[in-house]
Amino acid sequence: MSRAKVFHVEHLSFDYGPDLPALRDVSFEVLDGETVCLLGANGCGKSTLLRLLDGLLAPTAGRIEAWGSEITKERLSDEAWNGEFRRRVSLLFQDADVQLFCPTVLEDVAFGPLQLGASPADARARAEELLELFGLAKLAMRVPSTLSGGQKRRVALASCLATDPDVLLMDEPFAALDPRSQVELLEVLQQLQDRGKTILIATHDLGFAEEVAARALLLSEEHTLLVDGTVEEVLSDERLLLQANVIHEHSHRHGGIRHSHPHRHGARHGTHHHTHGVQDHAHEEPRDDGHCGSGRPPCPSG
Amino acid sequence: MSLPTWIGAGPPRTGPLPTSKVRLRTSFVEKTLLGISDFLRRGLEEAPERAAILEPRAALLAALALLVGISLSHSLVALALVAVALAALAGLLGLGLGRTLWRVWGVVPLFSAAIALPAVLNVSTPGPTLVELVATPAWLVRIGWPPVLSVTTSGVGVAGLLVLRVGASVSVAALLAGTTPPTRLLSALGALGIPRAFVLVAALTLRYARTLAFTVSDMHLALLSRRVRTVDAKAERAFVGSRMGVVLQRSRATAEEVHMAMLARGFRGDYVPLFPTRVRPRDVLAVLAAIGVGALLASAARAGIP
Repeated sequence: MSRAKVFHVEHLSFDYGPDLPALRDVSFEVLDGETVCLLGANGCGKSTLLRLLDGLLAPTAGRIEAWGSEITKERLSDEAWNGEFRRRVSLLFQDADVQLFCPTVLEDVAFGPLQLGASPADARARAEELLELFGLAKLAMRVPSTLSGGQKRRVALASCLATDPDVLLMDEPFAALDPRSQVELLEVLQQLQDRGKTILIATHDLGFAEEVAARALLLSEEHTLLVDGTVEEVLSDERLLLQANVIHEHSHRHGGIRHSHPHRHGARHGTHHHTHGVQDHAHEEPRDDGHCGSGRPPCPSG
Repeated sequence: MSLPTWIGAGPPRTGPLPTSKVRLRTSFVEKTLLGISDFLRRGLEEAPERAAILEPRAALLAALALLVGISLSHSLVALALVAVALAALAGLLGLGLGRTLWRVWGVVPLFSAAIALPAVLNVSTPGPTLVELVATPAWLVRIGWPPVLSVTTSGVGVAGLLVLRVGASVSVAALLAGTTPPTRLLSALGALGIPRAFVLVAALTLRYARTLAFTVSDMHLALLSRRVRTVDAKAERAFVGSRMGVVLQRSRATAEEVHMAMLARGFRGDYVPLFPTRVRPRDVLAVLAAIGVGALLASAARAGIP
């Protein structure tokens, strides 16, 4: 049985102003129940793309369809359309501070359910259940701005989940989380996938992309879509990863021999996976062919 | 850790999104707040370097000379000419003629005209009648009002003078803000002998205003992302009220962090420019020209210019 199309993005471009491009001619589709990673370097347009998909920004050119109808200013001001769209789609902002705007943590998590028409008692019960789940129950009456960075991230995630959305747009969800919270988030994502949720995650962390997603969209620093494929395909193409600046050429000495290879940052690739007697470290300009700076054959990454 | 059972309990909603005739309304309070935030953001954006044609201290002195002249002027014609000249100058300096005209004259009538309006009536400014409006109720006549409420020529002159003075002053301020970055203006204040404490307070105010503007618009985006329906006016007011508290608290916290980051890098109350400016002959000429125009404005009425 074929899966329904959630988003259909066609020749999408967005500019923040003259000479400030954020996205250039991006086209792709997202199917129901998929988990897709948006990969790319800082400033390549990942967050902008998520905001466009959430209808918070209007495309400069091109179009975005959600469940078959184009997201337009007109539709977003239609109470029924907007209501159902917001019911189905939830965005986790990169900056949790932006997302938390209520006087207390509990009110923030309950905000969504109340908007959807839940009774105050039900909304409170949902909020308390999620806060308990994320280990935040004791902070329920705290002012969000007084929380730590990791706590704010977890409250923001709880706020998103409180409305039980079908689609989760997550902007760098692993950022500012300690290792235990990262593992917990991975568990949460796994369960959300098992329950049929559609998830789009913007990240530049290749390790997490490999852990959570089956498909990846790689954005270039020129704000175009470089590749749309399975995570394995995308992550195995080091030439493209170098081009997108999500990995970099790393140069150092093994014993007395200068040695260079593409280097990844991430949960699983954040450390050097090789042993070497380091005498000095230096970063070199990436080369298009993925070869070592020394002229030796390509080195295995990680 | 296991998610609550109600998450994903039902089948995913995959059907087309419904439509209706009911529009999602943005409340007056929300629109006003966003308008103020947008105005602050635009107003506090650093002016482009290409437009900074005068040395900041010279620009500040020239602006002060013009402002003094405008406030002392009693000539409608001279004030109108200066307002036109300032708008043309803004256009020539690349600030956008239309944008400047809208920012100055689109806003000024709203505030100054509201204050000046009663002055056109013979109740507050007696004089030759221009237009008769209505007969005054007898009980008002008994307490000293004229029998017929009318617009007077001298009243229109007084109101016009007020509106033109405000408009010309705002034009000067817009030109100064549009051609000199705020940080440079602050350093110019210091260089002109304004007390350091005052400059520091002005710098902090600027930073608070900027933080506040960005916080408000970002929070609005987050609200839009989660808002499902139009709420009634009472709930909207309650929401905006509670948000204002949160915004104030957050912007204070952010501004304090920014200030600490500045202190950590050696900030002692003075903005030290990377590229120190030098007074050039054209800066001196501009200041002298502004003083001349200011003097002409102040004496125009005495010279017989209406």
